[in-house]
Amino acid sequence: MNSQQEAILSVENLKVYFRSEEELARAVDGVDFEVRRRETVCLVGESGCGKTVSALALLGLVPRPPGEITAARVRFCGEDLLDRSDEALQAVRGRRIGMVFQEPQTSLNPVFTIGEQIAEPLRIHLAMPAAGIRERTLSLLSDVGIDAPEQRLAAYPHQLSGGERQRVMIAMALACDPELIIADEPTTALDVTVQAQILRLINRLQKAHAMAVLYITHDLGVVSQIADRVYVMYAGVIVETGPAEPLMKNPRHPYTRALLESLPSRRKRGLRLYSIPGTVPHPAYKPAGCPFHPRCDLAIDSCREQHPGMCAFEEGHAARCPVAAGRSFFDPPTPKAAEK
Amino acid sequence: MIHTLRVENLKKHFPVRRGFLQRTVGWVRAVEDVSFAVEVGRTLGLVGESGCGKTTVARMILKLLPADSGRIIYKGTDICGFSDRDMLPLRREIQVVFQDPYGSLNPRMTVGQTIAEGLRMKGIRERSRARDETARLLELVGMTPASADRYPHEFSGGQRQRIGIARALSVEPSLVICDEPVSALDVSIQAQILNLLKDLQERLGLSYLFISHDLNVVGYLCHQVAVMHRGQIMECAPAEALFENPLHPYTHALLAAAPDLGAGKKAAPEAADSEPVAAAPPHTEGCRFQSQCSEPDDRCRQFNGDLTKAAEGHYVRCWRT
Repeated sequence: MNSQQEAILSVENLKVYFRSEEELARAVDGVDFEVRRRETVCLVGESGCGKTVSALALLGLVPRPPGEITAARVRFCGEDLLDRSDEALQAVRGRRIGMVFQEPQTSLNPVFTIGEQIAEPLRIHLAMPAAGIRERTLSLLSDVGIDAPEQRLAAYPHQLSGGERQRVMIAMALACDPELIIADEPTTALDVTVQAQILRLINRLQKAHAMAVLYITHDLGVVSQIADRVYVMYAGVIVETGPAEPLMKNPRHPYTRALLESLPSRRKRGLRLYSIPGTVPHPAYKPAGCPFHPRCDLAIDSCREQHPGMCAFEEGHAARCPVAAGRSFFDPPTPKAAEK
Repeated sequence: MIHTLRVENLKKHFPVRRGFLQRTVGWVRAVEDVSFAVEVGRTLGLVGESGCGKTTVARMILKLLPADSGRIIYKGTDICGFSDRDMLPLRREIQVVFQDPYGSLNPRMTVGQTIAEGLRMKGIRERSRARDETARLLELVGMTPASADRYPHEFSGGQRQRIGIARALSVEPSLVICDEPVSALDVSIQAQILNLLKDLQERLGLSYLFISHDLNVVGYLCHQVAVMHRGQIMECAPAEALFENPLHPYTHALLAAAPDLGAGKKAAPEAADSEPVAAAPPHTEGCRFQSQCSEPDDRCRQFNGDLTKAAEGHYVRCWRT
């Protein structure tokens, strides 16, 4: 949106490899992205593309070994994150960067009440006195839209619905007033009406607390509802990035186009859905050149040999596809679906 | 005969037991008066959120769960009171594809063995014929015949869902119940499976009962749609009518919440911000949607009506219509 704004998180050439005796899985293979203050950035891709591993690596949550992490730069608010010791990372994790994970049922501790769990970051990071903790916990719970917070403080996770548990997770992430929240598929396990509520909640809290949000998802419908900017990942690399609206309306990379074309909707009734031929390559056996070329309609000889660089389109919109850059893509993105 | 399957006033209440003697202290009214019909060669979408009873309905139709009352009419015969033995010939005609492609295939059987089980039910016992038939089925769902000798763990989620479909088709069913068949799959794989289901319907004249929570998928695939909420059908209509002219407030809420690519960020949905009540709500009188409805009043609290006809083929359970 506002390209002059400073980046709160910037990542350059991040690589996460997993080494086993037989093979080297290149889960994340040179990823660059940044999140600016007060913006919502979506990292989109299908399962196994490396989106979650990228986020976990930033926070030092990828076990080493078997993980091997290298990066030219990972900076959060001007400080280097990657070279930090575990204790130094603790001071950032949960305090200046909040996290919300996919499955609220498994990421909350079943033997502690939600009050105790929300209090934990307050006690550890802010060394808050007990009286202050109770007050803050109550205000956090009502902030995330939980009714009758006084009674809910003593509830255990299993006594809450899926949507309420996710609200509690968000309350925990917000506890120390972080500058950035990383949310990894927070609504995937929820019903659509609850998902809509949680998305609205995140939008509202982001404005109220002037936070940045890095939102990881596979759902392009969700992206269109919340993103300011988008990064599309495929097989461990970013294949396209740009402001949400132009990227969704006029995608440049053949993979992004194919993803959007393969989405079902009632407007496509009677048409055949476009489906991407083949499957996602295994992270240990990626093809040479562009990782998407075996499944791509536009692939030419050079795609099979050279790893393509980012090609710029409009303001802030770039795709890792020199072939697309040489062609006009202004025609509407559905003719393929109609032909078949 | 225009209906493969007709379900009338289907009901299922589960007892809630507590204490040492496991006394029944209440009932969960999981399915309360559900009626719909699946036309020959067409798809009925059964939509609703988790816990609304849609899978319970499927289990009753498959006779995996006895219904408390109601009628399940398959090709003109009420099968609701059928014994397991009576059901045996019908099991070939009504098949199911499950949501979880990982959990619904036997990991210790090769794909060929899994499919051959169905073929034996059909009377194909000779090895060579079973082999040919398995190869034909695998090709029908877009897999190579060589897959028959491999085990489920060697395949991806989408491929396993194809194997599940081939298994269902092995007995030449006329009705296939699809219980969230694509919700565990990635978008690009989901498109492949939806195309496959569509092709198979055209080629084999199958009827589908398609259970899903995803309105985009249902709107794409289904001819008829029934919207279910807390054990009741709230609205039932041809797909075009339901999406163009939804009448029930719950259908409105669902449509507003479903992410739509055309809408854009500014148009984020504005539905009620209250948390929906969990699966076993206290028994309240009147309309089951009143606590989440935008404008409930006294008539909602007294409303106990049935689905009423709003237009040709369009039925709604709301006194306002």
